Amino acid sequence: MSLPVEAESQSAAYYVSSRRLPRLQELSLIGIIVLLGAALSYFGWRYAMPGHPNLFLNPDNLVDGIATPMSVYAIMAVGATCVIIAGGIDISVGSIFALSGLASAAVLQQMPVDASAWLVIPVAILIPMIVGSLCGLFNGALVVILRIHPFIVTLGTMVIFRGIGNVSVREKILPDSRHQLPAVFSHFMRAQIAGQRLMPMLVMLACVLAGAIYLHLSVAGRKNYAVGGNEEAARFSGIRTGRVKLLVYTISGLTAGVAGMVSLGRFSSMSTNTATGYELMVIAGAVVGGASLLGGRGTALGALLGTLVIAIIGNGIYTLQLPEENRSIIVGAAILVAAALDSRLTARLRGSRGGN
Amino acid sequence: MKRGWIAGIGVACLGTLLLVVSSCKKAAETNAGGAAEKIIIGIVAKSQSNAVFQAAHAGARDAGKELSAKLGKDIEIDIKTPTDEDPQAQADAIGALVREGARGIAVSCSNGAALKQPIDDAVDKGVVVVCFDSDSKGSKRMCYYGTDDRQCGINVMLQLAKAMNDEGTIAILGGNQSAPNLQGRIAGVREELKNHPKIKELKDGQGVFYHEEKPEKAAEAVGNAQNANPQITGWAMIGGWPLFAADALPWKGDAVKCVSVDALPPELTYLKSGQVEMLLAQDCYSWGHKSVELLIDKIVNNKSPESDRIIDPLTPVTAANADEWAQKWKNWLGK
Repeated sequence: MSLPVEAESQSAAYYVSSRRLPRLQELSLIGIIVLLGAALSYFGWRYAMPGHPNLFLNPDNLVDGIATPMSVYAIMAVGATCVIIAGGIDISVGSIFALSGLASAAVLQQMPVDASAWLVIPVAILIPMIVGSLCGLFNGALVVILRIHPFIVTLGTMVIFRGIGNVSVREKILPDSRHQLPAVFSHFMRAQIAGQRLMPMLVMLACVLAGAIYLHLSVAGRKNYAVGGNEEAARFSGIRTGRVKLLVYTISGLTAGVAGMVSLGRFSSMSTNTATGYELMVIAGAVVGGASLLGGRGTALGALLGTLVIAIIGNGIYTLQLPEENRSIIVGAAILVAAALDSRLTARLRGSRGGN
Repeated sequence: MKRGWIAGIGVACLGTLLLVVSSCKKAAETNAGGAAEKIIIGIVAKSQSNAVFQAAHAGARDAGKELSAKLGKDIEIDIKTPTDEDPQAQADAIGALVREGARGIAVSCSNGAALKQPIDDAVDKGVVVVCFDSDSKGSKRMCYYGTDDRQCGINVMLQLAKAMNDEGTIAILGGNQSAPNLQGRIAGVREELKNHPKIKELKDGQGVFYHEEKPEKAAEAVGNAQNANPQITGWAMIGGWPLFAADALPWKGDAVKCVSVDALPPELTYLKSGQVEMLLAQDCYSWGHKSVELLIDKIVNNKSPESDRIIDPLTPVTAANADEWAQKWKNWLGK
């Protein structure tokens, strides 16, 4: 009987120490964001054309150039963080994103262009969330039942989900040439608030908030950390690890579905190859945000901040007027530098606090 | 240490605020000064890695230089083509160009429907937009310059039928199955095929082979299809993707007839080996050159083109004129 008690205390101790570290990491990420912002604001001022505002520090750029494009990555990064905390990985999110958006577009295009908002918006929101969740549940079930490494499972489903989209959509783009999407959904997703289209950013913030509540304020979130910190100890302490895994993959699928919904509303179109390769940026956002690929560590706020760092660097290429062909090198190198800097800053902060 | 860290963040925030104030001051000063006119033209093609768009970039740069000298303006060509095909990256690039102060943008749409809103937003902010190569139908763009995709498909099939003496079985190499311009070309091939009753599409109308638009993937698709279906006697390639790779075609000489769109330098060698009968060349250089001309004409002279679809006819390239065409490419890309 002593083993479960010991395991439980071990798991709880891990949870407590793992909560302290992310706060330090988030603080160091905020420092990096402020430094990047200050540097880019200077260059944005220097390189602005006469009579034009600062290229970086203006509301249009901060919302349209950074917050809106990053929203789909950050939403998925919250789900990816939950999976990574549980010691897993999900590389099928780009395909789930596309499949959810295609499913939603396929239903919406059957409605009249002037269909009522009361009918269109619930359908446009619920369908991608349901499809995304089902895809995630399928991933989770395969991981739990087959006991294959999640990388392999989600590599397989990444191709399967993309293939289902390709087979189901004859013209490969929805709405197809004979249909249009109801106008009310794109009006909703592109609604102007204070002169800016803030809806993708608001959905992103809502997802981060929901992710933070789940991870930090719920019993399920605590189990999530425990499974990733030490799966065996978690199992001995009575946690049904299979259920936890099912839940985290479902959450990851759900967030990919939400991201698909945001993208469909923003562009009023979804093609079968949409979001190809997005999974790498999503995982990069989560890892830069402090999620440990070994499991047991990460936060929803960290996912947001990590994605924001990458988005600012990507936007900085426009601000600094650098050639586009250098983008991959710059973003890749910057991710490494940001992760290294973050790790150093966290270590220093931890040292200065004398904590774990 | 903790206090020092917080103070550091505070100083950085203060610095940012000071920069905002100073940037506002600078903008006001430059407004008053009335600097010389500069016209920024943005180019957003589908991807950096495709040589046809490198030719378009070269054309745009040349047009910028020529028109700067001719009109006495400072025309700057700002190329913001994404590394890989991604409509969201193209939308971001269009937004960045608008914020930067571009007065005209030429874009080749990876997904015309997805780019409709970003194009409309740019036009609403006073930016003139031209689509080249791949259109965004229904958007507020001024005009489209490029190939008529349906007609392109018809021409490919017409030339292939001639090469096959009007009989045999064909396969179609389709590229990215999500690209609307390629779907238009496939429709053109099938439309013309109806006029040649002794030529059949493989598997009773299921003879399109899609693939990632990379030379090795395209070559793999052709090789696998030909091995599995040796009855194929003709290939209608609506894009020349496999021909960028060496030894990409699994047949020798003219055992299988092939007509392909595009005639870039690596593709010309297949004409000489006889493995490809004819290449139908798109004037990729003019995608950039003509687009910049159209934009500047509108911005400087307020002159719109007569039609909102300007069609560039395809140039047939065979073994006979392959060298001449190769020289053209040297001139375009050597600049």
